Amino acid sequence: MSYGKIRANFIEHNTSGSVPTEYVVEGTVKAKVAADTAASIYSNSSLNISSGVDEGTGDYKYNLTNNLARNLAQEYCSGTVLGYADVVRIKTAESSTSVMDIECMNAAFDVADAAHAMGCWGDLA
Amino acid sequence: MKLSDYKLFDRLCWAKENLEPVQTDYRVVYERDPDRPVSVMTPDPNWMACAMHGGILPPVWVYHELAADEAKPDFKKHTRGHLLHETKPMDPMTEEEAIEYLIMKDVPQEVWKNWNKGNRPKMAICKKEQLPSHRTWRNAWRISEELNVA
Repeated sequence: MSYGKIRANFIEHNTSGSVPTEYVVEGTVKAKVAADTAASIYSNSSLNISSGVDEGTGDYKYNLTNNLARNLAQEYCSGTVLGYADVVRIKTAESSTSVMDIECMNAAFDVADAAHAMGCWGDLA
Repeated sequence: MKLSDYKLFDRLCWAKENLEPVQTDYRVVYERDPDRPVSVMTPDPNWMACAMHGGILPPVWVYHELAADEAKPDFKKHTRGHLLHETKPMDPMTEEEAIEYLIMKDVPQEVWKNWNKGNRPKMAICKKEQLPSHRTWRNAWRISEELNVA
């Protein structure tokens, strides 16, 4: 494996200023996934995911390979529902440091099947 | 440096860049609560590639240790994440071994430890083609009581 490291506390651009690298690390997505209505994950769409679980209509769960340090429900997560005028939300009841538990809903906020994509940020365990 | 010398997340990033994803047809169907629809678990293609390559994923007991830490009432954040990074990674697995590992990692323990106890099976491994072809009645899906668990 060839995997070099650059150690720096700041990254500076010629004209746009500088940013501490801790913000770059914290601002990097730690887990992401895109999947169909059955939580079947598209090839090459995921990072740090071990499996998707279809738990019923519009009800999905994704298991992480590298846990986050804190519960995902306490971290920043973002998602989109693909090709529909729907929304996706993080469910808190079953979220943990290794589980992203989500629900897709239609414009009337009824649970509905939909292809979807999610990402989450935070410190890794 | 060897692949196993890097932290788990770095190993996963390396795998995503260097390994061909493996789309398996296996699905794990399980029932946590008889009042809820069955769950259908699909392995992630990049994770399958990691499992079959070897030298990337930690042993499954590491996840059980972290889950035990998280179950404590005073849990705030993980302090034993080093287990994920420093424990000797698993050797290459076959597709079937990877599914067995994934069951122990991602299916609730109360399900896979007792899958064939009780009146009917709580879990089944099947192929994608064996699932219903449409989702019209998705919330009514159940594991067949006629399933042979012998």
